[in-house]
Amino acid sequence: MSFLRTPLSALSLSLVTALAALAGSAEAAPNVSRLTPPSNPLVATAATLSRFLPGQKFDLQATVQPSTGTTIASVVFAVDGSTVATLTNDGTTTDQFSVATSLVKNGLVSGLAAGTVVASLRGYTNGTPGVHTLTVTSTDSAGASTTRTGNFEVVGIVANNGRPAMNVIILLGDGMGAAHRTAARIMSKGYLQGKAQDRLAMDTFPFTGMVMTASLNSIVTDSAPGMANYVNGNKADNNQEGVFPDDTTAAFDNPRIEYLSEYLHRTKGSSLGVVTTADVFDATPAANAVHTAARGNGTGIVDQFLDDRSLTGLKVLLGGGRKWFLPKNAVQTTGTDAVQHTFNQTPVGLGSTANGSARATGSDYVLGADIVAGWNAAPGALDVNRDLIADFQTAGFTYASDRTALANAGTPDALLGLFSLSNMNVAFDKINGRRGASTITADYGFPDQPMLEEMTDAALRVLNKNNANGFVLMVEGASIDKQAHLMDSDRWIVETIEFDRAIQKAKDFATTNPDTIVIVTADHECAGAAIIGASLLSDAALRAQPVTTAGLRDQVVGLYEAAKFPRYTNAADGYPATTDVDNKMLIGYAANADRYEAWVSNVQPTQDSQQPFVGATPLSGYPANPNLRNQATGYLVVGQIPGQQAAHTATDVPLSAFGRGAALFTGVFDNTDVFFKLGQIAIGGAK
Amino acid sequence: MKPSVSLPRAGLAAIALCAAAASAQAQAISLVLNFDDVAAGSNANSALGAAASFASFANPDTVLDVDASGSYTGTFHWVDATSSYGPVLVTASLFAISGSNVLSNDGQPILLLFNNPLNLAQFSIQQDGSGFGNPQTNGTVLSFLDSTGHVIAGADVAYTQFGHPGLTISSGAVANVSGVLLAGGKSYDNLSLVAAPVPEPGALALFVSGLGAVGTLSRRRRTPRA
Repeated sequence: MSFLRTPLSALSLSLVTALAALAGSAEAAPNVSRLTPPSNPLVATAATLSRFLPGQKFDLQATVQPSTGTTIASVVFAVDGSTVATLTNDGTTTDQFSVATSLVKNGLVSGLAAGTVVASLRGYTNGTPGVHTLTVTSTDSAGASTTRTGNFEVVGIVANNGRPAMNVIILLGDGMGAAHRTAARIMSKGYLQGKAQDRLAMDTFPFTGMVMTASLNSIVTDSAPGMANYVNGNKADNNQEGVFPDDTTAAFDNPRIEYLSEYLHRTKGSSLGVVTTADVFDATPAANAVHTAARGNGTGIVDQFLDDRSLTGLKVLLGGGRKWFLPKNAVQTTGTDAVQHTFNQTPVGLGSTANGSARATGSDYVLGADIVAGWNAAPGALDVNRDLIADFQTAGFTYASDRTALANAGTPDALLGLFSLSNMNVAFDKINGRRGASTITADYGFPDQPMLEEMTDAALRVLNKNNANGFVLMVEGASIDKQAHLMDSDRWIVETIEFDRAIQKAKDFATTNPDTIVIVTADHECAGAAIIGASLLSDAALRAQPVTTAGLRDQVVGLYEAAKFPRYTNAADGYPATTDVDNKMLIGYAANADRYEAWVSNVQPTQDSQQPFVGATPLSGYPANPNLRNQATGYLVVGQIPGQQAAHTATDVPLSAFGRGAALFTGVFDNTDVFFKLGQIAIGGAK
Repeated sequence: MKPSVSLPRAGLAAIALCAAAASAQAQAISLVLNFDDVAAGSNANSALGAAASFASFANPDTVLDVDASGSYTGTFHWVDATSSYGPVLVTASLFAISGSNVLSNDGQPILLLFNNPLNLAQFSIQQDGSGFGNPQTNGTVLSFLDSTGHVIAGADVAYTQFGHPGLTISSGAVANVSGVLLAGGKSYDNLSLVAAPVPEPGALALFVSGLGAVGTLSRRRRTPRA
């Protein structure tokens, strides 16, 4: 029996093996492991994930992995069954670039099968509203084929729905949640007997909604997709701006999505202005004009601002970030040179050749011919010694290096302002510098920096010059977020007040130019900030408290009716005379790292790692982070998150709207919905 | 057959009022404008010449409709908002189709108003030569308004604006038109229309009964001005 059973078992095994081989043969086909734009599961109830305005440009891309022993022979993209691109592999290991298409075989992320290709069609457009089917079919060298199906939606514009908005102004309070707005109102306007004594400018906007802020890969977004989704209508992974994720390691070759600025410049001839208190390479300003998967690649980011101005219509760029514009090999000079390119503070200990330049090959780019052709984009170059300020000037931009130069610039056709090496000093330190009460801005080497409302005023003046085709202007109150990360309460509150003064400028413009839509919102909330009450003590008494938890918490924090109504006063410059009033407002944080809390304002800001001379005197003497700051004067508040800074949260953020089409911004909506509302307002019109 | 009557010409604003032969309608109106015989920067109404007697260009806006109890109905109508936004202009443009001027409102819609309703026999206008405009496929419309400023249902002419420089947008007959709404996003050139006044009910009754020719029609201001 055993003799007989053995052959039968062997036969059975052979059959299994044969069947397995057959099954293996059936599976031996290319694997389309990524299809872009990303789709939801194809069920009837699923919302379409990727959406575009009619004619908005975006890239189609597929990552195709061959089965063992084969190579990818071809990749064919089709929309609604009609072929839009056929890419044929030439069998080499060399990347293939053609007009608007590419097959990239090198520089791919790890974990993909040998012979994987990333196939792209650049600059695809579809003007027909509705959900469209996207298919990619790949055939391998053995003749086996695989088809993967996805979808995308073209969101229709209702024609003649009212007057279109000629101008779109987006005021982005980075990290500004409801608490940040409330705190600014309490400090700037005051409360008495339960009522605010006045309103912030953003409070006076007639329509307000709540925005859901998640990114493509997290409930908690960062500023890159957090801004980009407002101005291109699509989700992206954290750290990505103006692109979808891909499987190449290069940061600037990801599948692109056309920005509002590019779309309106291409369809209406509009201009773009970008104003920020941050370094202009930062995620929020860049996510209006620059396409990259790596928000930190400053050299390429600032280059693209200029080099692709023919796509965006860039006319105004104001903020910090001079470090990216200075040629790497330039020699540092102190004082102010003829073109004011250089740093005018001598950092101690860095040597005489340090000029503050941060330009580096590793953060620059060169594009493939497919992107160049598909987007009419500049190809880029690895050029660390580029004098980008000079190139801006050659392109017709008037350059302002400080507040005085900005005020004297008049109303040029185009304006570049770089007021510090990296992030500008915050309003708290700028205004105290103007009052002669602080030397912080001088420590940074830039004692004459403009306030955000002054920058906004200049931007509006330039953009409205010869303004037949309208403009898109993004104004960012950047350090609401940055100081909330650092849990420096007084600094982010004053920063919010500064931002609100810029909002007033935009509202004034829209009042006299009614074909303008103005929205005020945030990319996300930062730090889980909340107004927890007010100090029970005078400022003098607070400073005299014992440095213990009992002394600084139990005897200080007034809750409910004990908080009463903190009373701040404004100086003639419009900013709080001091943030250290008796019985001051107290702020708590839900997304906090460890910190020592002393409640009184910090004389020095916490170190900003983006500053090129942060490691040199005097900036190196500033507190390094919140768990080192105030160790001698504050009590330890143990954080709920790891690290040294507070973090963003997933909390919805308010959005307030004023002007043409403002009524569309009510209810609770996704951050990507904002883009389509703006598209309707700017193209099809709205009441 | 009534003799043709021509109003004085104002440049190329050629206007002719003529009675159609054996027409049941009143005098026919034809209007052709290329906007080149007035200076760039002029109020577009100056290009109308004698046609200003029955037509004008307006900078429009919308007003939400309310019902008898004052509640919003969810609909809107168009009104003349020139007093708020300024006049529609004739401007010089590199994208002019004929000559050097176009009809422009900085990308906003343009409303051609008629003092009295017309029965349009034909209307056409050309987009300027730029590539700008609403990119939606067949998603821009030429609309005709009734005397209350509402769009006349079924009369829209849909077309694709973006990427079609110089496109001629044409319509056939549309009755009882008090305004023509040119979509925003473009400047325009070479306007042409043929129309006839809408007979007053009394006059029409007279015609129908064969009792006489139509005389001068009394005119009612039923425009969508606000």
